[in-house]
Amino acid sequence: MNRLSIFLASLAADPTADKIVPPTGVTARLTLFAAGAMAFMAVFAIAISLAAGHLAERWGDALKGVATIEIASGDTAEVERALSVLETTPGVLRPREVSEERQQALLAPWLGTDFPLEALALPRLIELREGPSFDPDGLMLRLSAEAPSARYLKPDEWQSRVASAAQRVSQLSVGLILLTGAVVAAMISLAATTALVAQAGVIETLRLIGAEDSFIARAFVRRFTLRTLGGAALGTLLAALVLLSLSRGDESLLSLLRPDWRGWLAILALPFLSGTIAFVSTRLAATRVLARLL
Amino acid sequence: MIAFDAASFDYGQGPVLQDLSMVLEPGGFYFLTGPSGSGKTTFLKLCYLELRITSGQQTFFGDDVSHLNRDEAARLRRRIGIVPQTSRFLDHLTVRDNVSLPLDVTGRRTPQHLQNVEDLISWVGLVHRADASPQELSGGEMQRAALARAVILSPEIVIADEPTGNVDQEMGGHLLALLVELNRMGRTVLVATHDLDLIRRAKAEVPARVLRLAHGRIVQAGADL
Repeated sequence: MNRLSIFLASLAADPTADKIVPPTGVTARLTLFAAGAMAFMAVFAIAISLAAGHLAERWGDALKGVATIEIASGDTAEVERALSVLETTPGVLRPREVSEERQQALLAPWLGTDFPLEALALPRLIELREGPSFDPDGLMLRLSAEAPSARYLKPDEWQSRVASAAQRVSQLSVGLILLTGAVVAAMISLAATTALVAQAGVIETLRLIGAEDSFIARAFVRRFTLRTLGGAALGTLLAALVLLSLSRGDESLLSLLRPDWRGWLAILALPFLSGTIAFVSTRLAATRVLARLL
Repeated sequence: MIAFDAASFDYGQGPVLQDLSMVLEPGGFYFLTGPSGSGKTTFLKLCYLELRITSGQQTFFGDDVSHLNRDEAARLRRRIGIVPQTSRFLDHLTVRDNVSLPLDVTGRRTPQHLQNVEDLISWVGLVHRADASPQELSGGEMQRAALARAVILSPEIVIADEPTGNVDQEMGGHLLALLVELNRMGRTVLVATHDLDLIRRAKAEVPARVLRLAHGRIVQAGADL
């Protein structure tokens, strides 16, 4: 019998398996709650991971062909000198300083609209479009005399920074999902072990009447798998509703959290993934405990 | 049926049973007697493989059982009906479900077998308690329920550990009658007891043999009281 058949056989209707495991109120509620909470968090981790990808894509498009001069000192005189140099440099098109309002707007998703930007030592930024005869090395040579703290940020540097930041957020989210899976596995394993040890008398009785270990393990595996599946389904449903409510509308940054079809597919898979984790964890715990309870 | 040859058992602190050499013949009725702490329960547990001998040889239905793993021992136990000294039931199930549990465990839950459950519950006189929780049963009722569960798979041998230990004389007589009936149906019966009156009453019904345990040995096998 392959692993899939074992998994499905464990979940198939089996009133016997259901009835031999005594009802355990606290463990049942704990498993349900933990599986639900973990699924809830995993849904948001998926949404954040996908949103980071969308954000990188959106910003990447917006920044295509746009170079930036960063004036690290923030000095207004230096900015003005840099602008004069840029206006007379061949290949530089439409140089203009990024206004404070625009910086505020760019940072609003992260810092909010009321944040006093003057409290941060932010660099001043000059945006420009690159023409056909644009020579960045020549430009920097000219700027070094007039604006010593100027730094030329290539268009793809911004893109790669954004892409790298998005990738990190994405990796963090994947890590969070893996961590959530590991916590589910550890928690189910602990709950199953506790239940098995607490039911040592039941196991002894079952062995007395001829029950094989696989029969006993199957009963516990089924109980914990279905319980986890139920908890995770509830957590996923709740998270999906919250997600839909948060991401309503097209303007807010939170609208990025609205999953596309791939996202929904991943979210829908969560309860089954949790069930699979519970199946494997309980099976391992049962094998270990049954071998110990000679 | 069950045979020991120079078999011993210890829990790691000196031998509890030693030099056991005996055979339980098919269709026999055996009593195992001896003072408290003489090893009666340990001997029975060896018989149904809950414990394993630490030296010597033990055969079951002609086969050496020393190397059986847990699952193999469990499957072999289906040929033995066990009535433990302290009732072991699943308290969250009804008496009926407990009696039918061996059918579930062995995958034999057919309508015919379920009818056998009802017949057995009737046979042990627990029809009115079939839907009760085991915790609600008296000592005698528990023993009768355990006996019904022990024979649901039609075992070749029934092993009972002090079945009348916690019941009055009338209930003890009733339980004995059930065991005698099983023996007359061809089952081998092994009963551990220190109730000499029970043994005398049984011997009036069937040619019972008595095994006496003392100081970890069967000192008298097959002798009449």
